[in-house]
Amino acid sequence: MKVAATYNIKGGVGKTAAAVNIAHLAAQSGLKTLVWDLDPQGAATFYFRVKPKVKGGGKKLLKADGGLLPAIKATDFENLDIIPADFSLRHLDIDLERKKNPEKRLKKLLAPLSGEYDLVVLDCPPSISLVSEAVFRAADALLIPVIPTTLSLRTLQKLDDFKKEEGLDNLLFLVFFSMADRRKKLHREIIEEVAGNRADVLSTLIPYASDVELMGVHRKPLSAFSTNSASAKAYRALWGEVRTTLFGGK
Amino acid sequence: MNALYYRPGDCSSAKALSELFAGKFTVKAERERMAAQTLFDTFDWRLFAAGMSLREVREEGAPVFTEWREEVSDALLGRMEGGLSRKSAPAFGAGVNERLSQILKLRALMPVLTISATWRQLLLRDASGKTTVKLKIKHWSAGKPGSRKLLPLPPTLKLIPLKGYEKEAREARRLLEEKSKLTPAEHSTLALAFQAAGVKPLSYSSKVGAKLNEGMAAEEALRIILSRLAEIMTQNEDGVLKDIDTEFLHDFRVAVRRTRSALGQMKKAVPATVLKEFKAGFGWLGTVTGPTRDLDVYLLKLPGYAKALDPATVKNLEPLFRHIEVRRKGEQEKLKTALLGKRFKSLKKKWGTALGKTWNSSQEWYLGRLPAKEVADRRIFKLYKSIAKQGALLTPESAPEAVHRLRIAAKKLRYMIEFFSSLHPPEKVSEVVAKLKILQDTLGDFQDFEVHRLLLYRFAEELCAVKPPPPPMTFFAMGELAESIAGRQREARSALGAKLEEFTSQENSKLIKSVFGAAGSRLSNESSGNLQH
Repeated sequence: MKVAATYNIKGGVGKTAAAVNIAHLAAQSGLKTLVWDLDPQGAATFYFRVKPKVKGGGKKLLKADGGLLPAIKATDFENLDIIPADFSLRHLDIDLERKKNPEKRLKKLLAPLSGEYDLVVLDCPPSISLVSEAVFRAADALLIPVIPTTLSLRTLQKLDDFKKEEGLDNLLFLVFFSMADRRKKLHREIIEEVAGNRADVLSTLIPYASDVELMGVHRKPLSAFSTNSASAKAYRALWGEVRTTLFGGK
Repeated sequence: MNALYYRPGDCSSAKALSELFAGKFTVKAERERMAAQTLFDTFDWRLFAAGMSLREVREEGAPVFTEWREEVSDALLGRMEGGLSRKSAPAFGAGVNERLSQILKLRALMPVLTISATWRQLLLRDASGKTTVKLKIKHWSAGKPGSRKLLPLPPTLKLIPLKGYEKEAREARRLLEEKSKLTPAEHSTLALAFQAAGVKPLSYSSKVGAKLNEGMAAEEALRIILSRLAEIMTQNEDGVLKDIDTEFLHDFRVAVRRTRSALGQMKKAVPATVLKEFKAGFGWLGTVTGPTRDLDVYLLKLPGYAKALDPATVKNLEPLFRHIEVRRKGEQEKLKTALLGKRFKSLKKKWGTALGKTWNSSQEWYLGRLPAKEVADRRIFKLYKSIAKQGALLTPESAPEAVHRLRIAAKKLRYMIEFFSSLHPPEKVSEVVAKLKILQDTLGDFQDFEVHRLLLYRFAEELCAVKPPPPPMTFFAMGELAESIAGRQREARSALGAKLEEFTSQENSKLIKSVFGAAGSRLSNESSGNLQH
């Protein structure tokens, strides 16, 4: 089982769109996939039309003996399940802090699912917190959507520093440009600079496009209603790169 | 709760079913879909045996795609755009390909069934529009691959519960069963489809599996075994000629080898004329099929050998790989000519005739009339003692030929045990074969390494004669490969001693004697001196 987490300290960069679309594409290809919506905003949960409610809330989810299984709901899409968000996740940091080895807790909770799922996608809230630390330790890869702006580069640098300080050498960073507009000179320059200086930048660009916003209207992943759009093709290409990185081969 | 299947009969329209659930659920009927599907499997039905199906789906108005599913749960295991290529394995993508290749291994996929289906899904939704239960109504027909005439099958209705919505699934089930008086049916839709189409899954096995009984005479038992082997050869012949995958030739040659071994080991139960003619005939068949198989094995083993070398050396070996492929193609053509030729046709015909009648030879010392079990057991025990003797004489300095002879003896023993396995307690046979297999694996490895190492020298000579010859680095790389194989051979050789000791241990000897030893000694006492093979 591989665990990928969509993560960025900044909000509104396309984390949830990436999580939902990659999870859907993975499930379509035959990989048993689980999304865990860790963001109390519950956007991924909303896209999948699942009630944003977990019995017992975030506290119960963190209990080692309870396990995550009772919280899992099937989405409308084959092979794709979700642990929905719950508003109590806004206290997840506090709940985690009360546990032993809190930064290892998510990894421990996910371990029993390895026989059930091939891929778990964690949709993370935009923050740097104990939850993020626990995600970094649970994940095999962080999918980091970045809008090509100067501020984004600073965010990336902070993540690099954090990774180094915490000794997270096995955690893969998979950086990709999101909401990118190649017509903008600044975007082009930033993309070239970052891609030139980092080895962990994926070649796919997710374009800024309205059909991604339509996910909220249709309440479906993009490839479930707009298979031939530029954005859908971009997410397919992104999934291809992520798949090769996580699972190897072609 | 697992998915439930029903035979809906008259209650198979979307309208009728929607009315059943109205009030409790919001029912969304998806559009009706139609598709022509071709089901694929290996010659030996590996997917069917694993409870899976692989289908090429041509849906109206949509591009072709291929799906791999678990049959009972209908769980999606893999999906890819496009159909299946006859020449290469399906490309579902990383994470899925590996799982499929664990099942298929070396076998190619062949079409086994054609299905035409019309289906519709009903989605039972909650107030927020979330699907909580799915129903799938299917009308379909099936036939042999490529057939235009498809036989209609009873419509099916499937109730698919969704994780986390068990309460809703139970409610949907209650409504369905109470209002329409349906009861769940056993899921056997694919089995029904095969039956309707006149296709028999799992109809092929490469195992001899001869059903013999205690009182059977040796000749009768032997003819049953040889007939079964002839059947295996026939079943694989077409696949060999068409070169569908390497396993057809493998199974064909194993059947030939077993035939020769059975004739050799049970020669006192075979009339001398039969023995003479067919020993030569099958000897020839073994010879004409050998070169292609040897090259197949080489090509299959090469990636494993290459892993031990550095990438630059492997790159320099590419002219060798191409040369082996070209040679293999040439040998396959020669093999095809031989199998399409008169000699093979005549061999098959005469062998069929010979096996179809009782031999009942009147020649002296003919053992055909004696109980099969006693004749076979004596032979098996003797083979075991021979292996023990050869093994005891084997030293680290013994020539490779001595190891080769031991390997042949082990193979003969294995075949004899398997031929007559139905005459012995199955758990004891399994135990003996498992121990023998451990020894055979090491002997086999050693032999393969020896053959492959020596073949490299022959290939080197052949490559020198090629115009233009490959670059010098290819020959250096071949030298490295030969040394790497020699290293593996030395490892196999040093492991052999322990494996032999284990096989010929007191504990194992006791086991073999208990299964095969008693009858053999009795037979020997009754007719001493007459049973020397």
